[in-house]
Amino acid sequence: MTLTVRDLSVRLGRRDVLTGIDLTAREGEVTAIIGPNGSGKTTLMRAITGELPSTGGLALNGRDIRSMPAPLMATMRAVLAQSTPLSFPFTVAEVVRLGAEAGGATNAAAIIERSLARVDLAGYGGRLFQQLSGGEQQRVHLARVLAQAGSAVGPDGPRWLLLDEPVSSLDIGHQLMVMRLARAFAAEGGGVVAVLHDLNLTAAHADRVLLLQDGRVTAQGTPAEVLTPARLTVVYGCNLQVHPLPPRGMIVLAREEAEA
Amino acid sequence: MIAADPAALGIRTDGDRSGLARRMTLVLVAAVLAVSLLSLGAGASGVSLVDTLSALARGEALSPSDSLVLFQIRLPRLVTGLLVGAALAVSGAVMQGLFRNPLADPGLVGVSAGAGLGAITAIVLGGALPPALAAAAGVNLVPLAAFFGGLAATLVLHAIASRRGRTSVATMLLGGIALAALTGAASGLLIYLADDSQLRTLTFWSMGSLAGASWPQLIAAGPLMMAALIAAPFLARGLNGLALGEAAAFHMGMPVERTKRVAVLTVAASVGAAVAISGGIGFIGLVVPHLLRLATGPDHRRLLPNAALLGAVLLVLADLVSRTIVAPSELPIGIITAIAGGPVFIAILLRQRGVMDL
Repeated sequence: MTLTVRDLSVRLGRRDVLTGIDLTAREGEVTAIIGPNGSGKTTLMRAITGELPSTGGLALNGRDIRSMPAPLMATMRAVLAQSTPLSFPFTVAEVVRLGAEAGGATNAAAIIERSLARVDLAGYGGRLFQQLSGGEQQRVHLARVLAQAGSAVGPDGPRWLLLDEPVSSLDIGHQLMVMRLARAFAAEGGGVVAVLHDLNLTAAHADRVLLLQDGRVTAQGTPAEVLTPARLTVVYGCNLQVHPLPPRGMIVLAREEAEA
Repeated sequence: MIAADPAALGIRTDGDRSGLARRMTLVLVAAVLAVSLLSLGAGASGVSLVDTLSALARGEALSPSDSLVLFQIRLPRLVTGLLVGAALAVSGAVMQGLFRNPLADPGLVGVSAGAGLGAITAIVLGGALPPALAAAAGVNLVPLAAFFGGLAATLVLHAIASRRGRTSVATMLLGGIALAALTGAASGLLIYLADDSQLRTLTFWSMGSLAGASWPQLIAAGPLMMAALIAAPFLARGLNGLALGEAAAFHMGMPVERTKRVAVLTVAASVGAAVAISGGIGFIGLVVPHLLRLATGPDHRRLLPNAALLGAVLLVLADLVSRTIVAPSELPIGIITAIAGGPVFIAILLRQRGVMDL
C-alpha cells in the first residue's frame, strides 16, 4: 500500500507553486520532504492532505484522495500542520480527545493517556493548553495526531502520519523522540511522510527523501543518494560538506570559510 | 502569561470536564424551573401563583381574569423570554465558535444591523404602506420587517463571503462591518426623517422588551427562534474542530463547509426572529457562553445546551426585574441586561486577566 502522487501541480493565484510532482511513499517507511524555504514543501503537504486544490493523481492506499469523504480520510491519515493555533481555553486532554474521536476511538480516555505519555507529557492532561510553552504545545498536537491515527494499521490498510515540520520548535532531545515515534509507527506497518528542515535528522531517520526546489522535484531516493554535497550546495546556495556517520546517517556541515 | 493553577478553575488532573458540565446542566434545568415559577407568579396584576395553584388543587375553577392573566399574558411572555434567551445565548456561542473569537456576537452575521434597518423602515415609512397591506401585517409589521431585514442582510453577507462553495470567515467578518456601516447610514437617514412619536417608538424598540409577547406572535416566531437550538447538537463537533482552525478541522474529518453554512443561516433565523419580537437585547449572547466556558470548558457539546439554559434563565430574570422594579410601568429589558451584564463581564475580565488567554 502506498501514498501515490502523480504529476501533481498546484496553482495559487497566477503562480505555479508546484509542477509535475511524482512521489511514492510506502508503508513501513519514513519519507522526508526537504528543500529550501519557499520550495513548496508545505504546499505539497497541504495538497496531499486534500486541503488544497491540485491537479494530477493523488491516492492513499489505492483510493483517490479527492473523492474520499473527510470522515473516512480522517480514519486513514492524521495530519500535523506547521502551526495550529487554538482558540478558547481547552485542557490538554480535551485537545487530544478531539483527535481520538476523529480517529473513531471508543476508549478515548485510555488513548489520551497513552498518547500524552508517548510525547513525554504524561500527567499534563489537566493543564490548560494555552499555558504551555511552544514546544509543549507542539507535542500536544502531536499527541492529538497520534490519538487520531491510533494503531499503525487499520481496516483500510496502513494508516498514515503526515507531519509538516514536526520538530520545528522542539529541543534536540524531543526532536529525536519525535523521529523515533515516526520510525516506530513505520516499523509497526504504518506510513510516515514528514516535511523536515534538519538535514542531519533527515539523513538519520528517513528511508526516502524527496528534495524540492522551486516547486519541482530535484532529486528523490535514499538519503545517501539525495544528500550529496554538490547537489545540496546548489539547492541551498551555500557550501555544504557531507560526512558519513556509520552505521546509518550522515552529518551535514556548512563550510563558512569556503564562501569567501 | 501567568501560570495559574488549573485546579482553581475546578479542572480535574486528567483534564476531563464533562462531569462538571453535566452537573451544570442539572443545576441550570432546576434554575429554569425556578425562574419560570417565579415569573408566572409575579406581575402588576397581583395574581399569585401560590393562591392559583392551591385553588386548582382544591378543585376550584380559576376566575376568568386570573386565567386571562396567567394563560394569555404571563405564560406567553414566559415562553417568549425562555426562547429569546436560549436563542440569543446559543447563537452567541455558535458565532464565537465559528469566528474563533470570544468577542463575536450573534449580530456579527449582519442580522442585527439588517433587522434594525427593517424595524426602522417599518416604523418611519410604515404609514406610507397601502392600507390593505398595513392592515394585514397589523401589530406584527415591525417584527416582520425586522426579521426580513435581518435575513436579507445575512444572505447578502453570505453571498459576499462565499466563493466556489467555500465561505471565508474573515471576509464575512469584514463584510459584516461594511454592511453594518451601510445599514447604519440608511437607518440614520430614516431617523433624520422621523417625527417625534416615531423617534420614541424607535428608541423603545432598540432597548428591547417582551411586553408585546402573545401566543400568535410566539407561534409565528417560535419555530424560527428554535432554528439554532435544533441545529446546535449537529454543529457541536464541527465547532470543536474549528477551534483548531479550518485546516485542522478538515484533517480531523469535520464537515467544515457544512458547519459554517448551517451555523450562519440558523443563527440568522434565530436571532432575526428573536430581535423581531423583542428588539435589541444585548449582552446575553456575549456573556453567557463566556461564563460557561470559564466554568465548564469550551467543549461545544456541553457548552451549547448549557448556554441555551443559562440564556433562558437570565433573560426571564431580566424580564422579571424589568416588569416589577417600576411596576405597574416597565423598564426596557435591554437596560437591565446591559446594567447587569456590563459589570459582570468586566469583573470576569479582571479576574481572569493573566490567568488565561481568551
